[in-house]
Amino acid sequence: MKKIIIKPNEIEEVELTAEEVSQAETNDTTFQLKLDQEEQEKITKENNKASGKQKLKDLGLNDDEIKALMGA
Amino acid sequence: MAYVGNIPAEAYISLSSQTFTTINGTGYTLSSEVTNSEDIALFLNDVRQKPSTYTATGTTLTMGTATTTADALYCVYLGKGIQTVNPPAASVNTAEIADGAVTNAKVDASAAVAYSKLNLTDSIVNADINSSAAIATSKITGLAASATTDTTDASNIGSGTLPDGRFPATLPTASGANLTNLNATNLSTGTVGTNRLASTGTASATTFLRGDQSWAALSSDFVLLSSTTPSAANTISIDGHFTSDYDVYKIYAIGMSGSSMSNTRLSYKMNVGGSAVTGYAFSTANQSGTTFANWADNTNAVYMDAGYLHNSSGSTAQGNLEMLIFLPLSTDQTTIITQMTAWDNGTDFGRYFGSCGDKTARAISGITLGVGAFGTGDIEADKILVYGMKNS
Repeated sequence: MKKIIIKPNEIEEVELTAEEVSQAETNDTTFQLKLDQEEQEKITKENNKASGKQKLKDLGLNDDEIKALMGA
Repeated sequence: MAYVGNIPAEAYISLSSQTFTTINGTGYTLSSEVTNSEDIALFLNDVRQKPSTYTATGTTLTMGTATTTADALYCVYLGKGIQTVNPPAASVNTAEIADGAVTNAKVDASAAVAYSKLNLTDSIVNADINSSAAIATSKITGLAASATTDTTDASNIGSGTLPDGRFPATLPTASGANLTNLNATNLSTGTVGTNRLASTGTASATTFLRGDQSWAALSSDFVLLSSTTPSAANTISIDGHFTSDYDVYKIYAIGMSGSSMSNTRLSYKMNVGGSAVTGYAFSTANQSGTTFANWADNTNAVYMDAGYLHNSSGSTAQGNLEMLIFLPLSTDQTTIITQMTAWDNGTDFGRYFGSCGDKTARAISGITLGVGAFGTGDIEADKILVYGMKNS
């Protein structure tokens, strides 16, 4: 792997050090965990949204009233 | 006895005398030619003078001593020329005339010497022609009959039009200072020198010609600092552009794509001293349809999420980034980075808007771009432009 360094009057290509490559690999792992977490949070948020919407309906609110409250 | 030669014209001769009526001086004129002073007997006041006291030659009598008006002077001719013997007509031949004896005076002024008698071949030189000679034009080969003797001097041409054929194909080097009414539409080839286009300023690669015919420097308030097409790499660092000449910088990354697992996020970091650092506060929003929503934020991040990119290099619909860096060299919290990212893969699209600031107010030397939280994937761009806006 390499990195590009763009300077005002030149462009330079530098190979990543072993330490930088290792850090990138670690970042992949961390990033994947982050994506998994984001996905789980998204599912939880959607579920909460659907559950809350249903509870509002059970209380007698119609869809327009619910949309005005929730924005969706 | 018969005569040999010519018959004498006179048979007898008597002595004669001459009285000089005007007596004064030494010179007198005799009425008859004499040979010498012995041919006359000269009397002054009736006293005969010794021949040695005067001279007599031809008709000239010269006294040795000047006489006065009180004197009386006369002479008696003892011998004098009394006749001229002419040779008979047509009797003098060339042999009787000595070489060189015929002088110019012997030729009559009105003599019409025949041209054939003169040997003039190749002998008449320029000096023989009188300076005021009016040589007829018909005598000069090639000169038109209508020409006058001085028309060969161009300064004497006072009228008429010189035909085109009198001008050389290549005109001589001459000053064109007095040429007028030149028509610029007749310039069909060649290059007009830059010094003909303007009278002020200096033409160069960094100047342009203004409407007032002056060369002026290009405005450099918005300056392109670099334009590159980097090859794909794990990270792309844009560094060394920030100087005290500018306060605001713009970075455009056009046609970006990346390869990073199945989720290609565009990430970036700030550089300090040429190296990417961590520790930012940032917030990025996402536009989905007509809805804007918070997408990512962090008050102590190790990188910033700027949006998504297409994960297929060479796609016709890739990601574009515009980033503005305000006061990057400031060491207080006034440094701010804003970025806008848009991508479209033909099915999905996204637009992201965010801002970022350094947690510890460090002078920023550049920006590093990466994908997937700076993992192992590569990022690439068709073009990266960096501009600086001058602060004065």
